[in-house]
Amino acid sequence: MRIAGAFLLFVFFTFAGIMRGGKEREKLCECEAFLDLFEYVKNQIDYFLTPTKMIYRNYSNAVLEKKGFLQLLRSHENDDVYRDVWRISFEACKERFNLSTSQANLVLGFGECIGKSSAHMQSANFDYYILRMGDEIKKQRAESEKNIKLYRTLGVAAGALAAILVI
Amino acid sequence: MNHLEKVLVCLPEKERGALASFLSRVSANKITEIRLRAEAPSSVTYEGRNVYLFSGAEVRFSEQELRGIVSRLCEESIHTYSESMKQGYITLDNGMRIGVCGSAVCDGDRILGLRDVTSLSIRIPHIFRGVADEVLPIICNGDKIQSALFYSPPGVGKTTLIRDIAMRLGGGAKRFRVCVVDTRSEIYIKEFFSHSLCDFLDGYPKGLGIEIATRTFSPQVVICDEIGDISEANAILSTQNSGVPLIATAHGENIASLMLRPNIKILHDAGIFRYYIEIKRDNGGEKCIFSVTDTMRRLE
Repeated sequence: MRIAGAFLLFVFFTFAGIMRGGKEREKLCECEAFLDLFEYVKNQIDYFLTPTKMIYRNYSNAVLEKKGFLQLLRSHENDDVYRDVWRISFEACKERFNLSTSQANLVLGFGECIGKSSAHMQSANFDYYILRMGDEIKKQRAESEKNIKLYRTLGVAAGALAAILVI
Repeated sequence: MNHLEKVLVCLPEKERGALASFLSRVSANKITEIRLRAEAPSSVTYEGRNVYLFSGAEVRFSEQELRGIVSRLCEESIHTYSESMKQGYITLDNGMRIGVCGSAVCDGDRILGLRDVTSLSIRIPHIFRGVADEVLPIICNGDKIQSALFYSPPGVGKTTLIRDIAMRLGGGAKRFRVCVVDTRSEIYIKEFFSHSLCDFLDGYPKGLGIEIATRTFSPQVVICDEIGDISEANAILSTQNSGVPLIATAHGENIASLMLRPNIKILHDAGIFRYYIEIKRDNGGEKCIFSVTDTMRRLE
């Protein structure tokens, strides 16, 4: 009985460590998805001068779609007054993302620039946010690798300790 | 949502109240323009008269508020309209044209952008079915359409008229293939053209638009609004050897003043238009009065 309990504890802690590591990986994927969206928006505005509400029509991204962000962006297409849609949509699904505060602020900051000035000015602003998101991804990637190992090791160690204590 | 409602929802709350209260007292159909100014009184053109907009005191906007209104009217897509904004206007999806005044940032003769917005002139388009009743038999006689130039001072209703002509020619009893070169995106209104045979070249420069229309759409008539400067007239001239009739408009008080303009003169000399049709309003401003000059009859 004790051995079975110890085994279960070991499995639980190890699994928790792996799960926590998975969140880190997910955070990285989300940053990469937003970077992809940033670049898409930039191209749509820079080359096609697409009206803001039509930008997201043909864009697909599994990560952002899963979190519901793209659906929210598209859902405002027929609003009587199209205003602050990026911010409203992001705020509505913010909890579903694993982004850090600085990454979330980056996403919000990017949205603040959309459609408020000429394509040339927007493009300059977008470049800044794309660069910063790129840096965030690099940082996140390095951190993720480290953290995934750390959480896995911690999980296994905590599981083993708990198992030993039970036994 | 109609045009006035669209304007209303884009205004700051206080000024929205002033305009809404004005609208509640008058017939919305008779409002042709709303003019908003930074640090100066805003006004409404109603039955041809300019009326101050009041909300306790004269309604005045700050420059920042005007920018906000432009942004909301453009549905946060300033980039889509920035090129036409440099030329002093933006035309929204619903055919509403907004004149934009401000401080231009120039590089020589070229306008790079608009720094401050100081005035907005929001023109409310009206759909009047049947305004072309009187002139249609002149320009369309059976199967044959004749080229015509409609002229009047600004605000008399040239765009409304050619919109009706396009709709009637493309959707009347005898349906023609109509190509509309809608350079300023003012003519096309979705619900108006949903059953007509009109093809729209939206945002195209006139010369290029007419050339593309003629080459690829085999139109039976080409319609365009407001012939501008001489380069535009030259571009039209270079494409007008195809035999496709052209219906266009121009600003002008009378035929003499029209002919003083080099852009119209070269088109006239080339015999592009058979009819020159002046548009006037009757005393009440309700009805259009047309006076037709037939160049063929003159020659005879």
